[in-house]
Amino acid sequence: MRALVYLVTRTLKNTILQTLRKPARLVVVILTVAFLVGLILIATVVQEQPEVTLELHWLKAILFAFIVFLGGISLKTGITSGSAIFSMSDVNLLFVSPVSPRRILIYGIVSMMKAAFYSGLFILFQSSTFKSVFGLGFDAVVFTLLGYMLALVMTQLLSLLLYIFTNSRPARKRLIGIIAAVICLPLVIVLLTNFVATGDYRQAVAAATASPAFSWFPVAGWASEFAIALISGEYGTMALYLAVSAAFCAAVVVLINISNVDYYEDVLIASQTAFERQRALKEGNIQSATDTSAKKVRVKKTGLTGAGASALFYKHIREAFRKNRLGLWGVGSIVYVAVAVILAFIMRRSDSPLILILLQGLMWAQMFLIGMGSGLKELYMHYIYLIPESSLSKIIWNSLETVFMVLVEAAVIFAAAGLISHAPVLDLTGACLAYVLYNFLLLGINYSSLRWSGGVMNAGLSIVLYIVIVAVSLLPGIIAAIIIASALPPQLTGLGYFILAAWELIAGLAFFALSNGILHKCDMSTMQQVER
Amino acid sequence: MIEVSHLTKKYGKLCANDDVSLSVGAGEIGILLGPNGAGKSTLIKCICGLLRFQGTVTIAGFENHSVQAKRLLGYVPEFPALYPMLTVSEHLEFIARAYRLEGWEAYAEELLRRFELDDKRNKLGKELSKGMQQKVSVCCALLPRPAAVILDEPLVGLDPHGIRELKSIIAELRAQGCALLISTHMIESVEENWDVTYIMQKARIARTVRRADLEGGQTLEDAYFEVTEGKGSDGESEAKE
Repeated sequence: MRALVYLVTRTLKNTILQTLRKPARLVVVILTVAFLVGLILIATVVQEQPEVTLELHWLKAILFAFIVFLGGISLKTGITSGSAIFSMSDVNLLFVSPVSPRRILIYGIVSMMKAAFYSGLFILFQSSTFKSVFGLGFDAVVFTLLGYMLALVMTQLLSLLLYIFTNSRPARKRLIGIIAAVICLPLVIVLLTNFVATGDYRQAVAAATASPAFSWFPVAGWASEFAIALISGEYGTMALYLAVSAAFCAAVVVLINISNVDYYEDVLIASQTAFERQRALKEGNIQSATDTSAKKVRVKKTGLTGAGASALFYKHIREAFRKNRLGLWGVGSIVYVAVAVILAFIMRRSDSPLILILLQGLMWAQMFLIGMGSGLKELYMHYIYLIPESSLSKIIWNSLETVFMVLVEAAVIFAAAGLISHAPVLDLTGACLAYVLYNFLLLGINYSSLRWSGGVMNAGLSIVLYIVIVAVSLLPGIIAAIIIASALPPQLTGLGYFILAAWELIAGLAFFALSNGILHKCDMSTMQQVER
Repeated sequence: MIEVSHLTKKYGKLCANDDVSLSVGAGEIGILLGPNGAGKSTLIKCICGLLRFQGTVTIAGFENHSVQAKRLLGYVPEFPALYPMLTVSEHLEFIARAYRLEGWEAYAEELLRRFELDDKRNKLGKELSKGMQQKVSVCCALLPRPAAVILDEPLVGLDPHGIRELKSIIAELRAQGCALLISTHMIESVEENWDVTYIMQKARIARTVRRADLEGGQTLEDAYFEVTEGKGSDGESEAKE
C-alpha cells in the first residue's frame, strides 16, 4: 500500500512542480483561477437576484440528462472495450508487482475520482448561469459538481463490471441492451403520459422529475436527487441517495472481485487502446488518434478522383462516406441539426426573436466545432505540406468539405426554423447566409492564426486569443447590421443579416489573404511536446 | 542534390539545430547518426519543409518550399501516418493524383509486391499493423520516383523481409542517381552502404565522415563512439539552451 500512496503523492507533487516550471502553463492556470474567482464574485456580489428564475426541478432534469448522455457513452465504451481506469504505466509496472490486485483496484478508483473531478471542473464556471437562471449561489454549483462526480465514479465502475460480464459474450451484450431499455421505459412512460395529458412539455418535465421513476433511475437519478437535496438543504434525502450510491459502488466492487479477481486481462485492452490513442497524438497522427471507432468498416467502393490539390477534397469525401452512409453529414450533423430544431420548437412561442437567437447559438457552437472537420485535421499530417501545388490552392481545396457540410446544415436548420416560427423568408435567407459565411471567416481566422503563431502556441492561450479574435473580427459587421437594420422599416430588418454576411465575407477574405503561405511558413501542427 | 546551409532551428530558448550544414549529392547515401535528442528528426523535418528555420535548404537547387523542390522530394517519416479510412491502394492513388503522376500503376504494383502488401491492397489504414503502415509509408514516398529521398528511422518496425527489401531499394535508388539522406540508430544496418555520414551531437554536426576517411579497419560504429563517447565528451547529448 505504501508504494501506491507514494505513487499518488509523488505524481501530484510532480504535476504541481511541472506547472510551476512552465510559465505558459502557470499563466493559463492563474488566468483560469482568476476567471473562476471573477465569475464567483460576479455571481455572489455584483449580480442581483433575478426577478424570475427557473424552478429547481429544471436543474435536476438538466443534470440528469447530462449524466445519462455522458454515462451512456461511457457504458457503451465499457461494453465494447472496457473501462480505461488504469494507464499503461500502471499495467506495466503495478500489475506485475507484488501488490494485491484489490489494493490496485482501490488505487484505480482513486485515480478515477481525480479524473472525474477534472472532467467536471467546467461546472464550476457556471456560477453566473446558476445565479441568473436559477437564482442559486456558488454553493449550489459545488453541490452539482459533487453530484456529477458521484455519477461518474458509479458509471466508471459499472462499465468495468459490464465489460467483465459481457466480454466476448454477444448474448450478454444484447441482454444488457434490453435491461437498459427496460430501466428507461418507466421514465419515458411518465414523461409521455404527462405530455399527452397536459400538452405542455414544462409540466411533463416537472411531473417526471417528481416521480419515483426519475428518483430511482440508477446512477443518474440517484446522483441528481443527491445534488438537488444538498442544494435545497434536505439532508435526510441527501443521505438516503448517498447511501444508495455508496451501496451500489460497494456492490459493484464486490461483484468485480467475486466474478473475476484476476481483472487485469479485462482492463488491459482499454488501457492499451487509450495508450495507443495518446501515442498517436504524441506522434502527430491526429487522424488515428481521433478515429476512436472500433466498428468494422466494409470497403465496397474504392478509388479516388481529382488531380493536384483537388485530390485532398475528393479524399475527404471518400473518407467521410466510409465513416458513415450520409458522408459529410454524419451523426454529429444530425444531432447538431436536431438540437437546433428542437430549441427552435421550444422557443417558438416566446417573445424573443427566434432566428436571431438561433443564429447566435449556432455561431457560438460552431466556433469550437469548426476544428472537428477533416480540413484542419489534415494540417497534422505531412502529406499536405509535401504535395507540389501552391499553398493557397491546397488550403482552398482542403476547406471545401467544411463549406459543403455547413451549407446543407444551415439550409436544413433555417428551413425547419422557418416552418416552425413562420419567420419571413428574408430573415431566414439572411441568417443562413450569415451563418455560412461566418464559417468561412472562422476557417480564415484558424488558418491565419496558425500562420502567424507559426503553429507553436500554448493550447489554453490560443483558445482565449481565438475567442477574442473572432469577437473583434465580427464586431464591425454586427454594429453595421444593428445600425442599418434599426433604420429600416420592420419588414426589411432582415437585411441586417445580409450586412453581417457581407462583412463576414470581407473579413474572411482578409484572413485568408493573411494566411497566404501557411504551409510554408508555419511548423507542421503537432500535438506533441517540443521534440528534437 | 540536398544542400543544407547554416540551418538553425529554435523552439523558444531551446536550440534544436545549431548552424547545421550538410550536403548529399546525386547517387549518394548520406547517413545522419546521433544519440537520442541530438536533433536529427528536427533537421529532417526542416529539410522537408515541415518546420520553420533560419538558413537555406535546397533540393536540386530549388528552395525546399518551392513546388519544384516538393516534386523532387520523397519523405518517410519517423512514425508512419496513414489515413485510417483510406485503403492501401487508395493511399498510393491519392499520392499519384496529388502529384499528378502518369503511368504510376505499374510502379505502385511493383512496390506493393516487393513489400508484400499486394494482398492487403483493400485493407484500411487503421486495420494495418505498425510495420505494415511503415511499408505503406515507404511506398507513398517512393511512388513519385523522387530525385531525393529523406528517410527518418525507416527500418524501425519492419519485418526481416521488409528490412531486406528496403535496403535493396535504397541501393537501387542510389545506383539510379537518387540522393538519399537516412537518419538511423541502427549503425550496422547501413554500415555496408553509405557514402557520407554526419554525426550529430548537442544540436550540431560534430563530425563529417566520408567512407575514405576511415582508416585501418575502423568502422562507422567506431567513428560514432569516438565522437559521442570519446575524450572531451561528457557522453550526454542535451541540446544547447
